[in-house]
Amino acid sequence: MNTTKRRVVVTGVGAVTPVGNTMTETWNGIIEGKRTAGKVEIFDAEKFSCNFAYQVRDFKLDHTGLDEKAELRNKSKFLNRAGEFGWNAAIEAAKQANILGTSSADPLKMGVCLGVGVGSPELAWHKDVYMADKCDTDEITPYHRKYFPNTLSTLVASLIGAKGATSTIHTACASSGQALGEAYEMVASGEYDVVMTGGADSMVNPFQMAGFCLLGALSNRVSDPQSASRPFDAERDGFVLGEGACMLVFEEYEHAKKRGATILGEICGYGVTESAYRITDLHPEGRGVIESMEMALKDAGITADQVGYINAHGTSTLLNDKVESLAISKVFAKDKCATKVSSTKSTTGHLISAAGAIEFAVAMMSLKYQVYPPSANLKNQDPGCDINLTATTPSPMSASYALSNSVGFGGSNTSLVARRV
Amino acid sequence: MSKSQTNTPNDIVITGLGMLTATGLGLDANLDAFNAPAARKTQEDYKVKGFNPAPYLSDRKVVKVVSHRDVLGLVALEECLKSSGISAQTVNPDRTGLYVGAPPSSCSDHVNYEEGITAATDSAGVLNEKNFGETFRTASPTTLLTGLPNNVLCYGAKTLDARGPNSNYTSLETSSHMAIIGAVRSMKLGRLDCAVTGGYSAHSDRVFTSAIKLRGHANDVAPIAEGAAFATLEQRAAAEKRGAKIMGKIMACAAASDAVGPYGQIPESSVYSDLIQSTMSKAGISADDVEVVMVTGSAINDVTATEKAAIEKVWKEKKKPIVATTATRWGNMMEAGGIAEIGFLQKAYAKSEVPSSAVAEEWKGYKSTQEFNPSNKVAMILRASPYGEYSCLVVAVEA
Repeated sequence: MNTTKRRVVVTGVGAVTPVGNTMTETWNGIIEGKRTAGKVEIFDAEKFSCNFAYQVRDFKLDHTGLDEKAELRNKSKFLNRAGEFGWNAAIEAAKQANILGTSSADPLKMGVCLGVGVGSPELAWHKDVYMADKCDTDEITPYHRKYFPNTLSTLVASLIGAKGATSTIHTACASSGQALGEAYEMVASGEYDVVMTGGADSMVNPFQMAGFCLLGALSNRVSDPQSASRPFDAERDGFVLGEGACMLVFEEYEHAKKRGATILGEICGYGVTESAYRITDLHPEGRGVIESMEMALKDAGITADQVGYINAHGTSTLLNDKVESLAISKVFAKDKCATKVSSTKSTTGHLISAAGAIEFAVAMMSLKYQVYPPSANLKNQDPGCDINLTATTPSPMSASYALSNSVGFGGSNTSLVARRV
Repeated sequence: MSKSQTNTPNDIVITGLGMLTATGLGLDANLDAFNAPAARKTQEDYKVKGFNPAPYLSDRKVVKVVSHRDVLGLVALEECLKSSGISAQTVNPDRTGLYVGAPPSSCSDHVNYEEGITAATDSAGVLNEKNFGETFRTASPTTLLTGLPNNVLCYGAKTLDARGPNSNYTSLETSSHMAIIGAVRSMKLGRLDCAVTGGYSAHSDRVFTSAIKLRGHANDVAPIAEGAAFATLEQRAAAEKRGAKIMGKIMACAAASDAVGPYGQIPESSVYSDLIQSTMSKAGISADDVEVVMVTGSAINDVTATEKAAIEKVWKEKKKPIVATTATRWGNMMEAGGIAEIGFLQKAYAKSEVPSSAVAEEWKGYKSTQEFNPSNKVAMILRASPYGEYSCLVVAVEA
């Protein structure tokens, strides 16, 4: 990357996750090692081979602060479940950054860049409308509004009055990691001053759970869902679906300072690669993941030994954790780096397109509070995952940099570097 | 000398195009359509049918694991690689990336589950959702993968061994331009030497076409079309060094939004016109320099009104450009639109003729194609979606 890039700081963050319905609740829950996985409540999944997930609970759509914007409140009805999570997270982040509704920023220098998942209709709707070829009904338009991925992006733009680009990205589990990376580039390059970025997803529905069950990707530990997501553990047997959203406000440093915004952290490095290998499998030697981390470090202008913490993609699948460990150990050699690693999917589940955003936010918060998030559910580290994992309880940190990885079906890999401010 | 004529080694240039639509495979076949009467009339006519992709794919087995729309994208992508003369053997893998505009998943991605849904439905027609937890197993194990919106990115990267920065945008009509914007940014930041960018689309799903009709949109000018188009971007110095043909250079590209959500154009808003102005400013040109404007031409009333309002605001009393759209022959290419217009423009400039068949009825009040008098070869490609998202690409066409 060129050397004239601008500094990009985070001035707002919001989250809706299975651990909590705000970023603070989510952070506290992760540090406590809170595990909320349980039987799927959104639909009857009793007969699925994996019938549990990490679900968002006690959720209520947030309209506070939008009292004068009846039109906006009305449009939130176009959101699907994931979109509603994204909406609330965006409002939380925008409020913290003080950009909800209007701000002092130039609207044309404000953008939105989100990673959004694949929408899925309800099973009954598919049967009664699509299969029955009853598409010439008024049910079609609401369906479209709800399941087009850019519905959320354009509505988030409306929340903050952003008139710049609204970018919607889908690279499977790397989606929001990639969105954050592009948002960072949008600001660092000088094109934008403020970009709302993040991700939202919910694949806890019959079609998508069926798809993952058919692939054999989900944990089958039905007798003990709360310990099923166990990244890097020798007895891991697959990932556990989660759902939720995380939104962050990325802002140019001087712009943030000038308007007196609270700076929560900084994003200073982005790596993005393609494994160009297989759609589901990582390259056995970590190709792509290694280069992504190296690119991010180079972009941040730091060396591996400066990174105190890595929030790994760590899905709890046999292959991902093994290959990602290999890649981490190649870039962060244990004899040279004291870098500690954890995957917070043990407490949040796998938020798919939203994973990269929440995990970067956690990495940033770990620097802010100087705490290593625990490796919840880790009982017996897989000897094939030869990395320095964090303890099973939170422990004090002394670091200035953290890195977050995301790896997606389709081969996209992202690495983001956070700096303590 | 105008900025369009000032070439620098760092210019980002277009060195190849690949395209597949219902009209045919390749740019020439699709451009020839403008010299013939409109051949297609119905939505069905704009579907790519009876096409055997096997001869055009490096990995023929891929057609078994991806969707119809992905096949269109992969064929166009491979045609683009051939057109630009690059391959896995010639590129630097770590400095080559794919930036793709892709359609979102659709109901048709779930057809594999329909046997399971039927099996979970009782004789009275009531679906037992619980039983679907067993009956879905009749579906193929790779059903979820077939519906992924980033399949073309994945398999295309594998074909080209493109391991560098990449992205995949799902923003409807502006998707392919978002791909160009992302790729250009990456190249300007020094992360990439070569990017293959484009889009593909097949919103032929009856849910989508029904939704368009239900909204009362005119559907006789630009039916939703299936198709794909890709372009290769390189820096001029590298392109010249390897003797690549240069079709044009990207002078500037940008996007904006009305920030109003679904179906939310604001024709009177200044966002679109501001975008055009700021993109021209980045390109170092003025409205007078633009000789041809290629609009979306979706024939969706609100979108057309917005495009017209923006053009009126920008050009006001100034010399109006020719306003054309490829939608008159190719249909509304959705995510695939906005790319192959570069080829259209190159041919128009080469022949000093913009086909009048590309000027839709609602754009006939602008400069006539008979008045086309190419000088600086600067053109603009616009995209607008019913979600109030806009993009603008300024290109200098090179012969």
